[in-house]
Amino acid sequence: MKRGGARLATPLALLAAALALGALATPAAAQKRGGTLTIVRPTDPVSLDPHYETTAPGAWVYSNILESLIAIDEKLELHPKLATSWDVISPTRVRFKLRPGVRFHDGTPLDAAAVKFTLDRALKGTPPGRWASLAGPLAGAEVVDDLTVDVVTSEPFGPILRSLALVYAGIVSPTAVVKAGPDFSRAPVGTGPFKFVEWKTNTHVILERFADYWGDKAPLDRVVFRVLPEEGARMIALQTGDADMVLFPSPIQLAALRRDPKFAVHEATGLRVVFVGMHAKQPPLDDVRVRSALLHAVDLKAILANILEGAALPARGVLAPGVFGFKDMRLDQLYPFDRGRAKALLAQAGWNPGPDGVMQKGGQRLTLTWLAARGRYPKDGEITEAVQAMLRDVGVEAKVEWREWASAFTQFRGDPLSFHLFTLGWVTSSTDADSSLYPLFHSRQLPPGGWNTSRYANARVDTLVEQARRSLNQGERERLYGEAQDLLAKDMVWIPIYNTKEIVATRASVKGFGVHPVEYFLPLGKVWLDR
Amino acid sequence: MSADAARRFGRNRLALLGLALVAGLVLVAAAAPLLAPQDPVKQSLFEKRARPDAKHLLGADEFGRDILSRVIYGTRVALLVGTLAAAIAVVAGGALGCVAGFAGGWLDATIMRGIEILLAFPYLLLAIAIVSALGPGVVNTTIAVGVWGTPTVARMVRASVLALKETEYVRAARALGAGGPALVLRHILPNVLPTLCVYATLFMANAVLVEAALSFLGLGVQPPTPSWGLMVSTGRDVLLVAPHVATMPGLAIVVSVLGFNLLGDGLRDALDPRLRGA
Repeated sequence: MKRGGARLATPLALLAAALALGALATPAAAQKRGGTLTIVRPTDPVSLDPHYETTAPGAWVYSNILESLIAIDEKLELHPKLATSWDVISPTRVRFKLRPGVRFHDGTPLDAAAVKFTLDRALKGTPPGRWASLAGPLAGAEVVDDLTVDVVTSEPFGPILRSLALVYAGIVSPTAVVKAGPDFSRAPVGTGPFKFVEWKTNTHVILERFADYWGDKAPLDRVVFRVLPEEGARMIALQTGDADMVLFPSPIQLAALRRDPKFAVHEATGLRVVFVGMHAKQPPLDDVRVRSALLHAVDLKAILANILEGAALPARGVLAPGVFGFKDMRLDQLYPFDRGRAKALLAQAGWNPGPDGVMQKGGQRLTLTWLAARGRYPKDGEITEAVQAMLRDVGVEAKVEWREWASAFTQFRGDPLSFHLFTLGWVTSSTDADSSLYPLFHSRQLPPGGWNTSRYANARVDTLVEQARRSLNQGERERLYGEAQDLLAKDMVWIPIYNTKEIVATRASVKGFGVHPVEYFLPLGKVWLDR
Repeated sequence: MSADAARRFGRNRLALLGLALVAGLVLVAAAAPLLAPQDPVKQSLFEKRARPDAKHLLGADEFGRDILSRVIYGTRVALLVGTLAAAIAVVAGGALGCVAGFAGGWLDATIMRGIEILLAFPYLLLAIAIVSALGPGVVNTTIAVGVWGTPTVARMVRASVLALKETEYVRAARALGAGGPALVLRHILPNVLPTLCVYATLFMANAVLVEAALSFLGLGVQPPTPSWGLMVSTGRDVLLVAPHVATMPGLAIVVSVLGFNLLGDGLRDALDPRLRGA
């Protein structure tokens, strides 16, 4: 850890590398300043306060207003941001040197007290911020001097640096928080390249260039985030020039956009896995043979080719390939699409075809209940319908209960969960396996506290993810996570469907934009308009 | 229908066209399993959005399901929801209207204020509110559409009852000792029925449309049950690349709404010539 920290803490070398990369990426045309970038996306934020909003619609906006101590770049490497260097001074304490001369949008200076204030607010506030549920043993911060701060953990925490680079870890202005009270969530104040101007619910959020930004000032004058729930309407807005950038573009129109010189399609391999979750404590899914049968029944290739149509990659496990600790589960070899095997496994578990083709056991039909929403993840509704039909082909009747997202979300997060199946997505936002494997599969991480919606329980997996979380040896951590994923692959409580591609479509005049693999980040600080 | 009315109806070409369309719809709905070339919920992903061809006469939808078969089975959903909703509206609205109109006084005032509250909701909003409360699905959609239609029926029936109550033959029947229920059932209701029939037919057109609208919004019939509104809703996303997915069920909605409207107009003209052109 010490060595890793030292390597990462060489800001000059990194800066030089970043400059070199920046020079390569800059097109021949000279960068132009000014203009308004209009972005259309399907949903409005719930809040613009990172401590209370951990979903993408809010983060897209506030990730341009607030900055963390450490930044994670498009290659998922860590860079100094508000901290210029850091040192691991004990297994539970990391000392950060803050960047001098940084000011918040309200004019107050960034100092160690602001960092402590931010961490205290997120981790010890009442109620604690949503970040707290993902922050592991992060305990808070201690002020050493004006520009030096120690971040402390209650026990050794392997992923600490990545945790501090999370989008929710943006440092807020204490003065603004105290002054605004609860209204801070509608008008956040940070140190980022853009400052907040206005938010009209379900209409738009407007940001403006922060003229006193400590780094390279943003070329854009303004950014306008508009809400357009309909995919078709968003694409039309791009075509007509009402919008410069579309988030969640229509997959089937991408091919045409790529051919058209007026537009550009930007993509990156995302970190989200969209899956059909199985409730491992709800009979008959408590039988691993039944769960395996469901995996064999799903024709992933057909779904990827015909529903996602190139807008996503086949899931290779419960983690995305970019995540630290990822191990390829080789699902295509472990659970190939094979209806015969699916039926054979069901037969082993005592389920045999009834008169209408639905499997039966002792007069009971193999009927599964399924909680799903539509429109939260790309093609989630279509996937649910397709898998439902595929399960029917092996004699499993699935009854889908469609809810709108907020209501479905409350159910997923609730306890008990009365459904057998649920369509959900999970993004490893910290880019470290810890923030997925621990909350999703540790037996004590049951909702509403944790995210083990499948109610998975395996003592060995518990031990492995605990050890990996405490270890500061990254090689050892990788090995532990590998073993945990091997066990998960055997017990399978998910039907992983796809790995997201983060895709953003823009007009060709939008320059300097790169998609971030972490879907929460929408970096606009270097974007400029060539028109 | 009197011979006179039947003759008037027979001379009205548009009304006959309406009758033919509605009869066609009923036939299609009844014979759906015989007419549909394929299983309406059977998916075949690799045939997604297939253009109309020999295998899929109207093409295939985003799951490779046969659109013709889905449109045919969708007729069942549309007519089922329409008929049952019309029945709810006519029975509930008719009963409320009769009681209010005949009883008068505080009972009339109470019922009619309730009805006016329901009428104050803009188009579709009441149906959306009901479905939101009950949850989506075929049965709840039917109830929502039926309740949505009830206030108008109640007002119409009440107005007729008020007028009929003062006619000489009703007064005569009363003078001869007929009680309230007998007066309503035997003397007043038969005279309200023609108007009610016309209204029910016209309401069917609206019911089909409201069902489609609710399903389009995702609040009505739930997939994979084939509903025209739902089909239009999913086809809308691919309108630019595969226009047939949304167009075919859209045409089905147009045809059935047209059919019921023409039939209803024709019935009105035939049964009540005074209303011609109203």
